[in-house]
Amino acid sequence: MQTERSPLKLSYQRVASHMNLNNKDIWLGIGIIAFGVMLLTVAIPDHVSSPSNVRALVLAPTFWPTIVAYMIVALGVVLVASRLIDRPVSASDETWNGDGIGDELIHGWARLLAMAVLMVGLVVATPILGMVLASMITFAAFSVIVFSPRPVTSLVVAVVLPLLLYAFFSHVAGVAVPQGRFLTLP
Amino acid sequence: MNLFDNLAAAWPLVANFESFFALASGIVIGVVAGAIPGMSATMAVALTLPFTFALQPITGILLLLGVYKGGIFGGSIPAILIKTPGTPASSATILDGYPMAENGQAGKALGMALYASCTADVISNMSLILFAGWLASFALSFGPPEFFTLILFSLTIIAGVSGDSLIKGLLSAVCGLLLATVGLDLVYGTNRFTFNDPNLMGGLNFIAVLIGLFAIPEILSYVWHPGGGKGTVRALGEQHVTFAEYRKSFRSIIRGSFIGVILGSIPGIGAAPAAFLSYSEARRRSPNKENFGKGEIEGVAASEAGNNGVCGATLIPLLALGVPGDVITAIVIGAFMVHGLQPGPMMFVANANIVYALFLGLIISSVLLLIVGSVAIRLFRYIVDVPRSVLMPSVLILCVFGVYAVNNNVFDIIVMFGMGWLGYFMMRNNIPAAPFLIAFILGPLLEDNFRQAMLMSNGDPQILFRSWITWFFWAVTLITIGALIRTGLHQRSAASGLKFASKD
Repeated sequence: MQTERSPLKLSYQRVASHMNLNNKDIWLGIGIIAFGVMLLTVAIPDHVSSPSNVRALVLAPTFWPTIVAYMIVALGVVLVASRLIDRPVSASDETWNGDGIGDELIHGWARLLAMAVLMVGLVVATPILGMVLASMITFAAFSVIVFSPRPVTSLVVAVVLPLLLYAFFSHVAGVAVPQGRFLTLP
Repeated sequence: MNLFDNLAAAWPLVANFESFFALASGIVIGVVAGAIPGMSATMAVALTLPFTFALQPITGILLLLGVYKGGIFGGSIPAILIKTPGTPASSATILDGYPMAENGQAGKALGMALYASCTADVISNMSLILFAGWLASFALSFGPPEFFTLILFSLTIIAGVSGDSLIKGLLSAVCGLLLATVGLDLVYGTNRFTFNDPNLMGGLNFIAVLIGLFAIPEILSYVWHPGGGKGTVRALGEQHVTFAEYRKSFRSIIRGSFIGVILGSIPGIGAAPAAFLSYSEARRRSPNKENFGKGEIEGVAASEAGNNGVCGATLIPLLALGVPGDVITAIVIGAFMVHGLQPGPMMFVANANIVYALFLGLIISSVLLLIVGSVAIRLFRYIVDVPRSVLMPSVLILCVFGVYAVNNNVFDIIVMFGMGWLGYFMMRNNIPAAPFLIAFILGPLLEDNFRQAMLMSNGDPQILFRSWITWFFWAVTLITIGALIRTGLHQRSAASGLKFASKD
């Protein structure tokens, strides 16, 4: 049976949730400021070329990225300042259900890491195995990562779906779907 | 040519099997996708986009519009059956739809959702036909300064209303503008953030960015917590809405439709606020207001009319001004661009037949939605039950094939994954993705119009205040920012009150 929680306790939990969010936003704001400063000091000077014969500063290729970078820094500062001045943000922040606790948190991060590896693997494997085979393996691996409660259905879809997509894109849309070194489909 | 001449000239483009089939398929795809928790109308339109490359422009765009309309209606299905909105636009439908399902009237609620959606859809489409051409002819007098201020206003309002925080919305839009600068400079042709990679010289692929932002984060979110987000599916129960019930709710449906039309024609507001406003107006004016929230059929009608009233109206700024009204129309603008069409006032001059063919297609889609919806009501229960453990990897594979198909380039898949992780980071930090995408689309247009204005004036910024139109857009931009800051401060003081109350 579910126990009743007092409104006071709920309010405390909401405030605690807001404070966590505010701390998170402060770090987010600091990261954004750092990103903006990096744009202004490194990325724009080194990676945006501007010819010497530009008629006016506002027409230079560097002008727009520079304005955008200043806006990023300014918004980062406003974000940090607003979270430092006052704590709560908005009611809908309560919808964020937190990062989980203990094992759940570790498992979540582990699954995300596995997903990142899977994505890299798909990109690397596509030219070697072909998109169809790489997709089949990716689908199956995805099902393993999330411990699919329907392994047989997952396996069937893992085989059938890439073949159907290959048939459409290759034969209807005329896309040259990568074939790979080991499997050549008609 | 007048409106009727244009419609008559466009009729042959729509009156063929391909167009009808595209619309019907789009509606079926949209309804199914909208009905599956974890999918959304946005994701469905984004995933369908690559399938339109091989089609004629009109057929492809009609397919996407079918998905859009079907998806918005489809979102009401899980809202009613499992208390989980299929799309954010259906959030208001839960309020009375789910209590009706609990009372054994799920079929009745779905029926009313369908009839209200179709009625609102017709009104919205008629508004589009009547106002888009007029607005486009007015916009023909716009020059670069006017377009610059218009886009600035659109971005401000989209950034402000998309999420919970104005700062985060603006931040999202500014990051979208930054990403739009990647590639060769529009005027001088020099490199900007290309890092000497030829793949980046043409800028980032729009479809890879949008699928990355809107589909991949949902997949990652599922991977983070595979067990969550599934409720109990209610039985359909009593299935028919009587004509008397429809007539009783008719006033709320019409009111909700017009609320949807008005809010939909303003860029950035979207379907969810329209649904809630329509719902609250229906409750305020209803003699049964105490029954709202407990299973009042008029509540379902009002919220569905509100969100579907937006569908046609969001195309008004898209077609007349070239400014997408929401994320879905931002994706639709991508379909136009893929087929070499640029929405905006000139399209009514250069491609009037396509524009009016779309109008006709939209009218037909309302009828098709009614037919498809009526037939499919009995099947909805099974659609909602699709296991996410099979759905999510399927979406991933669809994304991979779809994004690769744009340019036959694996680099686009890398961009999609990169944007997916960025989108997931934004999702976890409550940063809305919609302003990012719309700014990414409008960024080159904004910069181009700004630089053209500066070229016209030899760098004199006074040109940005040259006419009453620019003054109007500056004024509404400032008013919007002021209103959003005021709302934010109100929320903050309300939340502070909660904090002090909890300390007491």
